[in-house]
Amino acid sequence: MVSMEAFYTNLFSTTQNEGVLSGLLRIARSSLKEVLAVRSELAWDQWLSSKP
Amino acid sequence: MEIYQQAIETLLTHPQTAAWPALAQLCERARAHKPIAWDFPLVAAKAVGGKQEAAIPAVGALTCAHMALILIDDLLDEDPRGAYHQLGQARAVNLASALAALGIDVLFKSRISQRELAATMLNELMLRTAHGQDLDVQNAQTEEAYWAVTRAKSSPYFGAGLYLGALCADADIDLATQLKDFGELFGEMMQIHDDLNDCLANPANADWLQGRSPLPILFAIRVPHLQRERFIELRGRVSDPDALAEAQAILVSCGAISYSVNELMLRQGLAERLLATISLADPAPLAALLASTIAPVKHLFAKIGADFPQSLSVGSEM
Repeated sequence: MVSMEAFYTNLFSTTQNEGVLSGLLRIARSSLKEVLAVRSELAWDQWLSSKP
Repeated sequence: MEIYQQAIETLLTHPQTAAWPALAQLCERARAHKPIAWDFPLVAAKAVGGKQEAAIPAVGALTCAHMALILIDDLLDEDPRGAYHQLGQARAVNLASALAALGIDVLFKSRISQRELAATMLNELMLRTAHGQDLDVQNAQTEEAYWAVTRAKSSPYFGAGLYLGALCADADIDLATQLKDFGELFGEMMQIHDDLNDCLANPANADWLQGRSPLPILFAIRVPHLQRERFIELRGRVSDPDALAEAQAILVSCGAISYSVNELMLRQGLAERLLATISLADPAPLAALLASTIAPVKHLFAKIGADFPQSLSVGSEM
C-alpha cells in the first residue's frame, strides 16, 4: 500500500501534515502512556479474542 | 439448539470422531471455545439472502480448520499454552491432520449443492495457511515478506469462512468469490490489529522474546529514524521492563504505530469500496463487521483529539 520509508518521510514532513496525516502525526507525538491507556481502555486483546 | 452447537454436533456424530476419543475431546473442547470468525459463514449466508442454518456444515468445517491450525501454530511457536504439551507432539500433529480431513469430509457429506467447490476451498485454506506458517517461522525481515506472510497465513481463513457460508446458501461462484476477496482483506486487518496488540503487550510477549517482527517492530528496524540503533539494542533485552517501555515508546515516536494504523485505515477504505461493488441481499452484516474492525482506531483518534477522516482514501495522499 504505502512503503514504510515513504510513510515515514511524509509523516514527519512539515509541509504535508494535513488531514489524516495530522492525526497520525499526533499519535506519533503522543506519549507511550497515552497510547497504552487507549490500548487498555479498548482492551485490544479482549476485542481481538472476541472478534467477530 | 444454537447454530454453533449444531455444528459441533455435526462433528461429534461423524463416524470417525465417534470412534476416536481424542478427536472427540478436541471437538468437545471447541464447544466452549468458539474460534475467531466462527460465524463468518452465517454472516455470508445472511448477506446473500440465505438462511443461516444452511451454513452449519461450513461452521463445522471452519471450526475443524481452526483447531488444526492452532495445534500446528502452537507447535511452531513453542507456545506454552499449546495442547501438544498434554497430547505430545506426534499425537498433536496427527490430530491436526485428522481435523483438516474431518472438515473436508463434513463438507463432502453435507447437502450443499456445490459441495466439491466447498471442500476444495477448505483444502485451499489449509494449504495456503501451511505455506504462510512456513514463511512465518523463517522470520523474514522485509516489507514484501511481511505482506506475503500475512496474505498467506492470515487471509485465507477469513476468506474461506465467507466463501463457504455463501456457497451453503446457494450463492453463485462469482458472488462467493467476491465475498472471499472481502474476507481476505479483512484477514489482513486482523493481522495488523494482532500485531499492534502484541507489540504493546506488557510484559513482552513471544513476538518480542523470539525476535519476531510484527508490523510496528518491522517498521522500527527498517526505517532510518534517529532512534533506530537504540531500538535494535533494546529489542534484545526486553525481558527488562525498563528496556521494553523504552522500546515501546520508540515504536510510538518513530511513527511505527502511526504506520500500522494507517495500513489499517487503507484496508478499511478498500474493503468499504469493495463491499459497495458486491450485489448483496443484505450488506448490513458485512458493513457491521467492518465498522467493528475500525472502531478501536476511531477511539484512538478521539482520545488524542484528532479528527477521524470522513473518507478512508489516504493511500492516494502518500
